[in-house]
Amino acid sequence: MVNLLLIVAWRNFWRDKTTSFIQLSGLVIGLACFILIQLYVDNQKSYNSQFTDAQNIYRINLIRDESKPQAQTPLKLSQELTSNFQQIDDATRVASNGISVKHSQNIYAERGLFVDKNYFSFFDFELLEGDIHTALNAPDSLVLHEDMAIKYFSRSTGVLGNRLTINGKEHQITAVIKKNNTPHTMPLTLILPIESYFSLLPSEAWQTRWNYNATVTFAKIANKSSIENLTRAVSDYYDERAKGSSSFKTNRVVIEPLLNIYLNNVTTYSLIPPGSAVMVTVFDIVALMILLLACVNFTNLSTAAAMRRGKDVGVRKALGASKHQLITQYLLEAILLTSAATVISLLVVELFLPSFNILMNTEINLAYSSSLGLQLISLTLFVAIAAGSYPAFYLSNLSPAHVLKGLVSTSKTGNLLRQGLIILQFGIAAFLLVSSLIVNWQMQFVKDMPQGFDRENVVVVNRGADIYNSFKTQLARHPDVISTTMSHTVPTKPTRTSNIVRPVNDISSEIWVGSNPVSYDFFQTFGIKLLSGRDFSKTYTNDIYVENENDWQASTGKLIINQSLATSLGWSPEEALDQMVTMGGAGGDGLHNHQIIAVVEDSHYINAKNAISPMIYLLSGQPRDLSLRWTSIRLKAGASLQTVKELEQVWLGLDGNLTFKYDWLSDLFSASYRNENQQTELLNIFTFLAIMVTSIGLFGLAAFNTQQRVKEIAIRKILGASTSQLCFMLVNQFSRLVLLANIIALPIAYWLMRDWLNGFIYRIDMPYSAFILSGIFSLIIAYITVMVIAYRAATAKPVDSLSCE
Amino acid sequence: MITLNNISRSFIGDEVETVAIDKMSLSINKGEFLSILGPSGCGKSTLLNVLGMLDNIDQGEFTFLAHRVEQCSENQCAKLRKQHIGFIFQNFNLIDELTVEQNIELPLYYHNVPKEERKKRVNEVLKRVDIAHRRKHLPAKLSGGQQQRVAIARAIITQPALVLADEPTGNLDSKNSAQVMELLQELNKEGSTIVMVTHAPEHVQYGTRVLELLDGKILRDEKVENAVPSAKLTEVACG
Ligand SMILES: Nc1ncnc2c1ncn2[C@@H]1O[C@H](COP(=O)(O)OP(=O)(O)OP(=O)(O)O)[C@@H](O)[C@H]1O
Ligand SMILES: [Mg+2]
Repeated sequence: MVNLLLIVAWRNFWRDKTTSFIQLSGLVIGLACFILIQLYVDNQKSYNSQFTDAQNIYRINLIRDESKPQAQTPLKLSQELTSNFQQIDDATRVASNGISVKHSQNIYAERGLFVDKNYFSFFDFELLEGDIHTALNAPDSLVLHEDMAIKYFSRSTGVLGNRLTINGKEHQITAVIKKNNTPHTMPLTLILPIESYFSLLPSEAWQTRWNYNATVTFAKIANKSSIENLTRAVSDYYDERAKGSSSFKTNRVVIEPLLNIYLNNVTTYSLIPPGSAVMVTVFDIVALMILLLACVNFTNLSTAAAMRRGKDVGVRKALGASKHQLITQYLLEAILLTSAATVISLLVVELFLPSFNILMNTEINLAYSSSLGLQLISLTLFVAIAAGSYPAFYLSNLSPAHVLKGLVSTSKTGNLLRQGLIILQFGIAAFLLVSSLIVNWQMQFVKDMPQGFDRENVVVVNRGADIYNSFKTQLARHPDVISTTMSHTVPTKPTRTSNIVRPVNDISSEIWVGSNPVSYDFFQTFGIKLLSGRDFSKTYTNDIYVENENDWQASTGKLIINQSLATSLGWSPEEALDQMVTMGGAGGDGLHNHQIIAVVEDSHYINAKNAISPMIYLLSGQPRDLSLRWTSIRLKAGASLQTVKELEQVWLGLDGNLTFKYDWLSDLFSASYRNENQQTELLNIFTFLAIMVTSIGLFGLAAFNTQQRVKEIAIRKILGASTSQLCFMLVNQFSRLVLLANIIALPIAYWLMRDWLNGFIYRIDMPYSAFILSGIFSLIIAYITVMVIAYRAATAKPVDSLSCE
Repeated sequence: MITLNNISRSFIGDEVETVAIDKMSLSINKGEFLSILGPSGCGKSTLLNVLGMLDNIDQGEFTFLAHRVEQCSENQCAKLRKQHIGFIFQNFNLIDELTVEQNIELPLYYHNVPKEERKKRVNEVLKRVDIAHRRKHLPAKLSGGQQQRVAIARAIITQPALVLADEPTGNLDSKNSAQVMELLQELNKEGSTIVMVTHAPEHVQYGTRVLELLDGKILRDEKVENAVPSAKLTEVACG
């Protein structure tokens, strides 16, 4: 019996090849998308789940005033937590810092993780060699990730006991972490005891400062129900101690589960760049939409094909087949076709995973397991039943008398359903089309908008305070160098310090400003335009900013402010010149006045998704004075890589132990939009696929519909209809549906995109042309798709169509 | 009006080549009512399709109103057909979704006749074929005879010089058949040239000339001498 069902199913598949293949290809695209995205979503949600204690581990974030939570905490926090809060079973610190690694005469810039001895009891990585319990005991111990071992020793085992010189001090390798594909939020790099980090601090006192945030703190808390109270208690404890030591008024903590931290992209200073929960949700929805489109194709074509199969049903019923048997037959066919589609889509997924991994920067692979098998089987069954049940019930319900008389073709409900489904499909396609147009335009706008600095031809080098003066002098002689400067932060990177500025005549009103201490030539190097006034200059010794902690009033230094601050203070750039403002008054500092000597244009730090905040620029006499961290060099346009090599030589000539770790400012700029670029690109791909699945469906339906009408077409042709008249007639029936789909979908898109655009500070106006374009484009797609078929039908010889009667 | 000189048309099937028309020569004058008889498969429909330019010929010369059809492009043929020829089929070939009126109006629409004129002419032919009372009906609601009268109305509404009818009575009973034949005869008397394929020898009497085919060749071609007057024929048909 089953055998017979299978044979019939197989024959039916081949009997109507076009329909079957269209159904199959639609399902393959839909399923492949769905599987791929599900893999991605699972990957994104599985961060850190590999650690045995993951359920009980939390990260402690700080929230100070209204700012975003940050993962950087005081070094002494972990100690305070374990000794003062009994609910906290254990705590550990992970500080991340740039290090230079010297190995056989070469110097490499790396990021090092400085951790407590109990690091591996939190993050139990599998080791290739070494003992997880003792690996971090010695003060000079060093744990490498497999990739690092290969980088330095060209092998991943047998490296124990080898030495690397880190920041000038020898370390001995005590363990190698095995590489695996399960994602986690720990950087894959070199791990050192945290004591090595302390030696980087200016003094021992920094280890216990409540206002110096340098480490990520993790805590183990077994008692979940205590989290809420604990958060409150720790917040109060921390606030009590941190208050007065910084400009912040409130200090709170958040205790965040380790399993959530990857998808939390609000918190700053996490160890690796976070993912995006919103993005994961959006992908989930889009994947479902595409799968839905594929199911719709299937249903649509099946019910259409049902007309042709109507006779078959009639005959079977007349011969005594029960409704139940017929349903089984048709559902079985749906299941078989879907299974075939699932198998093919797995191949498709395998084929596209490498490119997908590159695009999304992931390491996902398709791990065949019984649970995957089970998931795939449920997916197949679900799709088959969702897509196949309407046709099955519809077909089995046909009355044989009607069918044999050929009356199925005029079934009103079937027609309405098919038209409804076409509208749904084109609605989804139009929605995605408008959304991706607007998203692309907005992203382009953000990237193209004036950033308030010139990102071309600037090289940014990490550190270099000690050699800065000689470096600058030597570079001045280089023909390709326009200017050199050093600064605390650079455009594309966040401002790290803040200050309070008050109008002199109203010191109770506070304006929070970002502060960027710089050296000479900063504005020239970054191409930031002066709107009024003069740049810092060596001819005025009073330009240099010095806070006098003994006599605050005696603090000196001139200010350059950005336009936003001038506006906040109620001045035009010209009016702001020579005005005095009051600074200080936070955390026990005294008040001191400074004069404004220039107003510069607003520049974007981080990227254009963040509002430009009021900024002050202070002049640091020597790089160390106000802890300048970045050396930047503006080169002449067209400077080659060779020039950069020469700069490196100069640099290494001054300090052979300091790596020349550089980036082009334009690369830093692009990198700050990497997430957005990924999202946009993926959205584009999905939109393309959705349109493709929709056109496949339309193509199938049009082919079917046209086939239904061949006779009519022939008659009309004999009566004198021209080819274009016929094509128009055939296409027209669909264009109404497409227009209707647009009318329904576009308001929804408008509404959602308005909200999305409102999330941007710098945004395009709602582009109405996107809606018009989408309407036109979906019509064109429908026209082309249907026209292929219509043209063939309209130019066919009428006799052929009539003689088949 | 029409001259066929040595035309052939064959179909290449899976195994055999069927010669549907075999070096046939024939000329049809304006005003004739030609009936074509012959056994099934002898090439009657093929000949009619060739005359209606629905099918091409493989060999020979085909002149239609001074046009050399075998040299015409697809478009030129379509134009000749549209201007000069009306078709009537055995299975009526009405469009199911259109009403009687709309079916009849359709050719005028394709001829770009203005709306007023279309209305007027549809009314005329509706009366002529005596189907005006059913003008709003869909074809499926009509009897076979009524459907064929609609089809005739549709064929003649453009006032074609040539009407081609392939077994117009094949699906009708004798009473309806007679009605259709009378209609055709009347048309012919008013000046239309008619070529009709039929299986019923008695219908030959309505025409002016009879052609008998066998295996793609003309077996007999003669004038119908004693054309039966319409009234008498009705009696015969009924009796
Ligand atoms: N499209 C075609 N392809 C192949 N062979 C064809 C085609 N059309 C007609 N024939 C063959 O050509 C021959 C003549 O067919 P035609 O339809 O002209 O016969 P007919 O005289 O009209 O027959 P009937 O009285 O049954 O309608 C037949 O043998 C038929 O099989
Ligand atoms: Mg025939």
